[in-house]
Order: sequence, then C-alpha cells, then structure tokens
Amino acid sequence: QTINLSYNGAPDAEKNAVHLFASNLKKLVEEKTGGELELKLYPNSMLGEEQERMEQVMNTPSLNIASFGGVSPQFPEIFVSAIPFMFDGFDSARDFFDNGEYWKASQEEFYNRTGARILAVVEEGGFLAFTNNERPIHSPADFDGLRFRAMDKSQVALFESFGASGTPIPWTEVYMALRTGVADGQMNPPMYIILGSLFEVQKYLTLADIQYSDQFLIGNGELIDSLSEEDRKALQEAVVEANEINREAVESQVESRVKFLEEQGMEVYKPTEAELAEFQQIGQPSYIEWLKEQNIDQKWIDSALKDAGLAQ
Amino acid sequence: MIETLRTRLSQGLLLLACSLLVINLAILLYGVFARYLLNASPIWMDELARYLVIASVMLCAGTVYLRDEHMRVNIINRFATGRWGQLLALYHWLVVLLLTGFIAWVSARYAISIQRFMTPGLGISKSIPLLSLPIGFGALCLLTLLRGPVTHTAHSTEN
Amino acid sequence: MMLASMLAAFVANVLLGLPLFVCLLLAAVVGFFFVDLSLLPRMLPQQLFAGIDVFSLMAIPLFILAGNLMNSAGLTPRLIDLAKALVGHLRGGLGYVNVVSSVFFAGVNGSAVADTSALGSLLVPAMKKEGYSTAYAAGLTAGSSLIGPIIPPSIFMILYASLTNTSVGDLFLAGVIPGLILGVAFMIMNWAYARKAQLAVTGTRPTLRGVTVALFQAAPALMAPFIIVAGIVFGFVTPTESGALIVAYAVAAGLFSRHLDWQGIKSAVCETTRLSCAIFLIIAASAVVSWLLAFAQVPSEFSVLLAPFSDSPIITLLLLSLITFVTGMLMEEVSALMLLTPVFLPVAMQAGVDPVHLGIIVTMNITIALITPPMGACVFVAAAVSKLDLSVMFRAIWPFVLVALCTLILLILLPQITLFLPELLG
Ligand code: NA
Ligand code: NA
Repeated sequence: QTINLSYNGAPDAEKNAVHLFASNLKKLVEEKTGGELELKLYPNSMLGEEQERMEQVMNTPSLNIASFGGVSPQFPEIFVSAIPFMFDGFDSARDFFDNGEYWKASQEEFYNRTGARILAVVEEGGFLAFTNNERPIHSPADFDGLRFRAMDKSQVALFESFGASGTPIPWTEVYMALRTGVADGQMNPPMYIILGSLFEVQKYLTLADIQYSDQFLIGNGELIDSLSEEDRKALQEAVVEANEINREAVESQVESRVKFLEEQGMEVYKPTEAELAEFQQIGQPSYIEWLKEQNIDQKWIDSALKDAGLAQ
Repeated sequence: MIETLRTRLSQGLLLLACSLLVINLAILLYGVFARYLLNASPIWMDELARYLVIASVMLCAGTVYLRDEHMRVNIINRFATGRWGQLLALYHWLVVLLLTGFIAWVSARYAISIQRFMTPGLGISKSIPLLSLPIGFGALCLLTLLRGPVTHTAHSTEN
Repeated sequence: MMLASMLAAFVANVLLGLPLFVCLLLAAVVGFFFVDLSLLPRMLPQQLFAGIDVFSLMAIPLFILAGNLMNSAGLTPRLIDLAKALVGHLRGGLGYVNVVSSVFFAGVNGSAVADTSALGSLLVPAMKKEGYSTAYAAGLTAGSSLIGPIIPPSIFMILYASLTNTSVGDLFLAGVIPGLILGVAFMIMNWAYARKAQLAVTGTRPTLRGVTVALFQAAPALMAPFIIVAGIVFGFVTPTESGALIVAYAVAAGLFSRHLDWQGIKSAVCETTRLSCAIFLIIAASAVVSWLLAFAQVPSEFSVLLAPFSDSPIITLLLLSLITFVTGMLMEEVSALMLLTPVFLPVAMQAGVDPVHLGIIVTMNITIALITPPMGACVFVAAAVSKLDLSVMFRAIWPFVLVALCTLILLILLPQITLFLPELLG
C-alpha cells in the first residue's frame, strides 16, 4: 500500500526540518513494515497550499504536515499552543505536547471535528526570535513605534500589545519590505532568518523564545483505522522515532545558526530572566485577550497555562 | 423570446462582473490609503480582492463564450463547411454543455461540503467565494443551452 | 499512458476548435480516470479555485486595464511622436521608432499582443510608405512587441512568481536590462536592413525644442513604468497594489488631459473584464492539469530524466529552452507557462539556477512563442493589422525569431545581466 505524504518547503533536509522528518518517516515506515507500507513524498506544497492540503487529508486516505495556517481554520484552539513566552526551552515545550492535558484534549477535539488525526508535533526551527533594524530590543519598551511584519492576526495582536504595529506581508516580499523600511522588523526562528537572507537587512536579533516553532503531522482517520494492527503500530513507532531524530537535529543546529547570524554581523541579544518576565507580563494577556475575541473557550487557555506551569 | 433572454442574461452578467472588478480596484486603493494615511492594514483586504476578481471572471465566462472570446484555435472551422460544419457545431455544443453542466454540479456539491471551513481574513465560510464556480459554470451552461448548436463565430452571436 | 491519453484528448479538441480552457479540463477529466476517478469531484473544483486564488494574480486585470485606459486616452500616438523626435531622423528611422515605441509601451502594458495591435495599425502603413517591405514592417512590429512582457509590468512574470513563490518585484527588476537588450538587438537588425534596402533619410535632426515638446506630451504615459518600478523597488506597495495605482493614475491623467471620457472608461473596463475572464479560465484549468501531473509525479520523473545534465546550469537552461520552444510553437502561451513551470523548477534548482534567472529565461521563452508559427498570437495580430497573408507572415517572421533567440542565449550564458538590478536594488 502506498500512502501520499504532502508538506511545504523544499526537499532539502539541511534547510527544511519538515523534509528531514518526512524523509526519515518514509525510511522508517518502509523498514518497519518490510515494504508493506510505502510513503510517497510530495514536498513544496505540490498538491496544494495549507487549506487545500488539509481538505485533502480530511477526505482522502493520505498524510499531510500542516502549519498553523492549515490547522487553525478547523481548530482555532490550536492558537492556544502558541501563547507567547509560554516555554523556557525545548524541554518544557516538548513536555507540553508529550504529556499535557491540553494537547491530549486537542487531539481528540480535532478528530471529532475533522475525522482526521494529529499524529505528531513536528519540531521545525527552534523558537521564534525578534529581529529589527532600528535598535536593540531588550524589553517591551523598545518596541515603541516600530513597524513589524506580521504573518497572521495573532502576530498583529502581539506587536500591538508592545506598542508596535503589525503589517501583513507575504513571506516572498519580506526581504524587500525589510530592506526598504516598509517594515522595521519581524519574528521567525533562526532557520528562516537564514533561509530568507534576512540577516542582510536586519541588524538586531533578540532571542526571546517567543513561540515554539512547530508543524503537525495529520493522518486521514479512515486510513489509520483501515491499517492492520501491525502496520498501525509500525507507523506509530516510526512517527515517534522520526520525531526524536528531528528534535535532536533542530536543537543541535540552533546554536550554530545563531553563531552564523552573529558572524554575518547581527547583534545578538539574549534577554535576562527579568526582561523575559516583562515580555511575558505584557505579551501574554493581550494575546489571550485576542484568543477570547476568536471565541476560544477559556477552558483551553486554562488547561494550556496549567500544563505549561504558568497557572495552578 | 429565447434570444432576448440570452442577451439580457449575458449582458447582466457582464455588467455585474465589471462592477466587481471596479469594486476590487477601489478596495486595493483603499488598502494603500489605509496603510499610509491611517497607519492600519486591514487583514481581510487581500482576501476580499481575490474573491472579487474570481467572482468577476467566473460570472462573465458565459458572456465571453457567446462572444467567442475564449482563446481557441480556429483552423478547422475554415475547412469544415456544410454538413461537417454542422456536425462540428453540434460536437462543440454538446461538449461545452455537458462539461460545464458537470463542473457546475460537482463544484456546487464541493462548495457546500466545505461550509465549515472559515476563511482566515474575512472569517466567512469558504463556501461563499466558492459558489462563484457553480454560478459561473452554471451560467455558461445555461447560455450555451439557450444558444443552441450553431456554428460558433462572433458574428453569429450578439456583439 | 496517462500522459499520452491526456495529450491526445487535449490536442484533438484544440484542433477541433474548442476553447482552450475546455480542452484543458477535458484532458484533466481523462487524467483522473488514470490516477483515481474518486478524486475528481473534490479535486477538480478545489484546484480550479485554488489555481486563481492567488493575490499576485490579481495584478493581471489591473495592468490590462491600465493599458486599455492609456489607449482610450490616446496616449499611444504620443509615445510614437516621442520616438520619432528621438530617432526619426536616422536612416531607417521608422523602424527605430517602432522598436523604441515598443520599449516605451512596454512600461505601461503587460502583454505583447496589445503592443502589436496598437503600434502595428499606426506604424505599418507609415513604414510601407517609406519603402519598407510589408513583411519586414509587420515582422518588426511583432518582434519588437516581445519587449512588452520582458520590461515590467509583465503578466507572464506575475504568473511565474505565483507558481514558484518568487518575488514579483525581483522578477520585474530583473526584466529591465534584458528587455532593453532585446530592443538594441532589434535596432541593430533594423540598421542592417535599412542599409541593405537603401532607405532614404527622411526626418530632420531632432531639435531640443521638438524633443521637449514630445517628451512633455508623452510624459503621462512615460511616468507609468516609473511609478510601478519605484513603487516596488522602494517597497511602498505590492505589485498588485501598484497595478491599482497605475489604473488610478491613468484615469486621472486621461481625465486631466481631456482625452478620456466616461465612454472610454466604460469600454476599457468592459474589455478588461472579458480578457481577464479568458486568461483566468485558462489559468484555473491549467492548475487542475498541473495538480494531476504533480500527483502522478511527472515533474520528478522529468528531473530524473535530465539529471545527467544537472551539473551545468547552462546546458540545463538550453535544454529547457528547447523544450519550451517546441511546446510554444504548438500551444497557447499562458497554459504553456502554467504547465511547464512546475516541471522545470525542480530541474533548474538541482542544476543551481537562480529562480529569478529561471523566471526571466522562462518568460523570454514563452514570449518568443508568441511569434513562432503556427501558433503565435502576435504573428496573427501583426498579419491582420498589416493585411498580410498568413503564409507570407510565417516566412517573414523567422529572422526576428532568430534575433530573439540570440538574445535568449546571451541571457542564458550571462546570468549577471539578469541578476544585476535585483542584486543592486532588491
Ligand atoms: Na511590460
Ligand atoms: Na507560438
């Protein structure tokens, strides 16, 4: 049996952590099932953009790696997992998804709504960092009056809470917008800052661990149910192992990537505990306010904050 | 009677399509204005612009077909005259009628099936913009039906 | 097998004269029979919609509208007047005027066909009167109109960008120098022709006053490309928004100079809506076919086929150009671009070709297809406005195809020409 797996980004394991995951998953699944199950990889969003691919995985026997843009139209509660400054490092973020109540409930609710299953949280590029071209950002006060590129509405809400403004700019135009000053700054994991050569047009990098950068492996429900007991078990094990490889690779690359950016002339700043707390105090409530505006039930927020150790 | 209906329908659709294009233009200009003078970029803007243009081009597909302005290669028509010409016209008519009817039907079902998908910008159901497919192809099918299997040149239909 | 059946269904129906978007959809339906028929009811409408649900594509109607408005406002003759004032005094003056007008016109218009029909109807009769052969005059008009889609704005580049996730701004910048080189190439050709045909020198040397007056009169049209390029280079607006600004500007300039009235605006909008519909339906239908090809993994099989050449970007680009040239002879340009780009991209990436460079090469190739017989929109229009028999036109066009091909090869060999401006400004 051949299963299609689609995802975004180039088929380049060095630059695209999603491809690293997909290619390892393919190898492991085929090894574990002795070729009984085969994965056919469709990188570069070949079969469609986020929303189209999500629709395909809901309706045809296939696998898809979705970003927030793909998951959120079905399950806006996914934004709760991106509450800014919720994690103080890889361990707490991974624990949040591996053992937390919020994530367990999310997987169930997602299945109830779509008939598709979230099989894994694929680690992508570490944590998001701020960059800008005006001044070093050490605390929220430094944001005053800056214009930031925003990827979606949630980012606009975050920047506005710091006294900056957010302008939606598509990824392909970000470099030009930063160069010409249409936007002063943006936020992305170091991987994307390198991928987009943004270090050429941005001077200051602030490693504020804003959000954990992740995508989601989604499997068609009927497909999963139709697999034989062994095949399903093999698939599950392969997912876990491929994920483990990704986590190690991503974590080990973070340092070298930041160092690379430093060598390219970026001024790197790691905020202190007190400064991070300040980011958290200002950024989190306004983001949570925004979540409520999206009609997201308070119970999701409470449960996520509790899992992250931020509330009782 | 049929001809009047066909002409009215085709002109009405074109008028609607033109209006949507003009509204799209106005929205894009408003977006630039808002960004620089009001210092705010509505996040629904580019989505609305897209849906308006898609609705515009879909709505006038039938009108453009009646005017024979869809790109096509016009070689065989010069040789196919008389009975062969009629046969060819019948083939065109049947293919377009059946294919557009079929697409109108599957896209209507598809549009309804994704009711629950919300668009990220406007926050409306994705069915709404998608309905321009069944409406556009439906209109194309209807106009083809009303025109009948006649040799397809711009001169034989309204200008 | 799937590919052959799809191709057969497509070609047969194209020859039978069905609209191209219908032929593409029929080919897609045939394709679904081979991959999985149960996918059709969902994937066909999904991809029809997704194929045109792309923000940068929304620039296409706007750039068409801007060109139509400038035409309605009578700006085309003024561009020709300016070209006359600058180069009309040389031997073969009108030939140069034809090329230079195309360069000016390129900055307003995104499509070559509009250029051919607008300039051809005005210049071909005048060139005949001055002793050019009709075939040469028509050929030069069609040939130089290729500058239109190379110098920004360009519908082909917008399409390429939307298919490959490349920046439209970079592509627009990258097209400026190649477009000018193509203009120079046609001017050299005209120089040779004028000497050989021993054309008389008719115009007078330009006077400062004459040039100033012509420049002033043509200024509204000449401003357009600067608004577009400046808007994008300085990042004030997205390409789509710059399309909207150009339309607003064209309306304002037309009303101000009192050459544009309500009727003119109305017919420009109407024409634009209909042409956009024709283009977008082809884009949408091609998207369905492209999806099927991707699903059947045709692009990756193709790149395996070309893998032996993947260590040389130049050979890869030459091969891809050859494929486009043959395809372009037989196929309409927008659908050729839609179908070939996704197949080419992985191959070119593997060979280390810059996506922006590939974009210019692909655009140039697709543009050349506009004048290669037997299927070339610009040849048809040039023959029609010059009242020339198609068979004569088909023979007369080859020297111009050759000049364009030489320019293409130069661009392939020296990527710096293309990448200079985007690297300098982008
Ligand atoms: Na142009
Ligand atoms: Na051609």
